[in-house]
Amino acid sequence: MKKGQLEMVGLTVIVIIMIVIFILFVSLNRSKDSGSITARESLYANNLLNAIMLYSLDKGSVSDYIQKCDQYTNSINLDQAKKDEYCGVINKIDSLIKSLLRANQKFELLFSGECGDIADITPGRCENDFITASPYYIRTSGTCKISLKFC
Amino acid sequence: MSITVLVLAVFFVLLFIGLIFYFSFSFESFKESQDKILGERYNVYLSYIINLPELKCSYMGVEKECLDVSKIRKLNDPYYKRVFSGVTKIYVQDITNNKEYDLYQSGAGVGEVYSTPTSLYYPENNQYTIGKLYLVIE
Repeated sequence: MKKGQLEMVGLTVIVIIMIVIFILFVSLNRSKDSGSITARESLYANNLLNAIMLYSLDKGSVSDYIQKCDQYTNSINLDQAKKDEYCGVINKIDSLIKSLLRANQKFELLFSGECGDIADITPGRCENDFITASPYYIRTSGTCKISLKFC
Repeated sequence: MSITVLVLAVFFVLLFIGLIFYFSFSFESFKESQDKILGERYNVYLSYIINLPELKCSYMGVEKECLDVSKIRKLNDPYYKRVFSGVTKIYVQDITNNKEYDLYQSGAGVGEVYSTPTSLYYPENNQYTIGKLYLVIE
């Protein structure tokens, strides 16, 4: 091979390597850009949690039911019928959330604080990436914290 | 001499291909930025509508995160046309009662849809239902 031909091959190789590096750089940069979707999902999660907690049932809102459920769960004189009536709303929350989400959207609804022993609705356990709504607080014997996560 | 010309020709061909790649990626990233900015803008619109004092629930000056159904009306004022530029239709759907309330319409009302859940308050029977606020973008 002549010297000129070698130079040409060398130059071609260098330019191809540069193009490959450039494409890799651009594609890696693009994958990080999901801020708008996160903001939208976060707004959705906040509004969903808020709407569900205000939702009216026969004897008050969902948050009233959770308050009563906690009250009857931690009461010394256990009234099982009342407890079942108020705590049964938890299953209703699950179906309400599902009806307002995409078919395969996984979520976690966590109860913590004073009502940590009521229930946790976790159809899809969130592992790494998730979007959390601002927690909803209900005054019970202490404070009940309800968090909604989209996986 | 001819080899130098050939090397330069190959170099410029590769440079040209590189530039095509660069501009196609730049254009794509420009489109993504545009979508992102518009997405954020429509998120702001959704929050803005939920917090409009003329629609929001309030009792004795205390506001709640919900829309008062008795206050829902068509937002026809030219002011809203300026505020909701790019929006062709805004409506609320009561999922519990399967009802729909139109808030704003400008044009055909067809396009990309943004939505968020919202609580709807019926003052006549003091009931809260779950609804969805929709924003249709041209």
